[in-house]
Amino acid sequence: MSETLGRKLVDEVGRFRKALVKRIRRVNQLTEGEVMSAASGLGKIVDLATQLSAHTKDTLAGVTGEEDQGDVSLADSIAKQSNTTEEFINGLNSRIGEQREVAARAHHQSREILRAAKSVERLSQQSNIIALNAMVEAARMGKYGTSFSVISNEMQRLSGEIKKTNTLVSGLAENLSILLPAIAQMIEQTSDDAEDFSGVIKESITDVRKRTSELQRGVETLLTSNEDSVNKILRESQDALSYLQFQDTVAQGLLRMDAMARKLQVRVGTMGGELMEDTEVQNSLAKEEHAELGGEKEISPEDAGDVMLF
Amino acid sequence: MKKVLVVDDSPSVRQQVGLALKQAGFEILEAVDGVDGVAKIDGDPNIGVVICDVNMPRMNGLELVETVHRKPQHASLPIVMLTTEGQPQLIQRAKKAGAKGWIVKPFKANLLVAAVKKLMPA
Repeated sequence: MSETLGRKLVDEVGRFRKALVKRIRRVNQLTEGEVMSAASGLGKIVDLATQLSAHTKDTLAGVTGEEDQGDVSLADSIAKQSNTTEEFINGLNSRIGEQREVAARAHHQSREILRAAKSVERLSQQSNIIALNAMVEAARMGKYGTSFSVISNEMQRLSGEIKKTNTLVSGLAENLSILLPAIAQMIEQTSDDAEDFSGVIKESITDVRKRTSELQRGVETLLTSNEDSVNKILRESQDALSYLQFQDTVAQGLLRMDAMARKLQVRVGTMGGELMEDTEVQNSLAKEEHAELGGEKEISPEDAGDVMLF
Repeated sequence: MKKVLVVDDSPSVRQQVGLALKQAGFEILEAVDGVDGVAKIDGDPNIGVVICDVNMPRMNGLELVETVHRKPQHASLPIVMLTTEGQPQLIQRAKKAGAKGWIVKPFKANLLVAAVKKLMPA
């Protein structure tokens, strides 16, 4: 091969290599840009999904509560309130029962008082008769009966006082015997009302407990599905990341073409004999764009993703 | 939080490794080649694991492992090679230089994260 032809070939191959490298760079820039923009979009989707999941968890934490954090859940709080209301209603019913008993006892005692008052009235009448008899006897005894007459007067006055007091007591007892049944009736009415109220409240509590439990189950299901969705998005984004790595393989392949073009350039130069000694030719041999330690061996798809820890 | 240094001349690979590890809660530092990688390792004592490409300009990944592990303060720093190469002689050289693992690209994000978690000092 003549020197002129050799130089021509070297120049031609050099131009070819220059054009090739330019194209390789352009293709790499384009694909790399697109791949990075896709990966960035993936990253944003994962961030948004993670943020949304965290926000949902925070919002619903009040319903479920996190025992390890010492939180009180809405469901626990409702259950506690329901128990307190139930205890209060049971206490109210118990108090009403006690009041009913007290009213019944008072009614019975007022009747006893009335009976006692009537018996006292009879005694007062008897003592009055005795006083009148004593007065008759005192008159018959003349001056010897003076002291009897004093006693008889005292007995009459006492009888009068007893009658007066007894009238008051029996009036009071009669009033009580009228009033107490009315009070007892009011207590009965209150007891009936309380029983109705208690029934309604207990029914509501059961309903609230049921609905709270349903709400809690619903929230738990929602949280689980939320977690599942985020994990799915994460898994899919990881898979997508693996697919996006084709760009690196393509880039390496393209750069390998540069290495081959460089070898061709050297070989053409060598064919020209002493041409390779020429400084101008040496200078036209740019370095490889990407020197590789492993040569041109392709990685088989089965080996891709392998992790070896030493 | 422990940091992971990703050394690769490809911006898209650095981004992809970074995304996978960030999602797992790691803080990421990046270096564009071996020389940059060594400088970053020297400058940040909080780097817990290094993920490093093999074929890179200026200083390749195996030279980085050898350079870093020659320094006593970095002798036990775990370095995992992430590369399209799979030749046994290269893997042996990396192992001899003190690399802790070899991952063949394209990597699977979950396996990469698991490897980093295993190697990250407590």
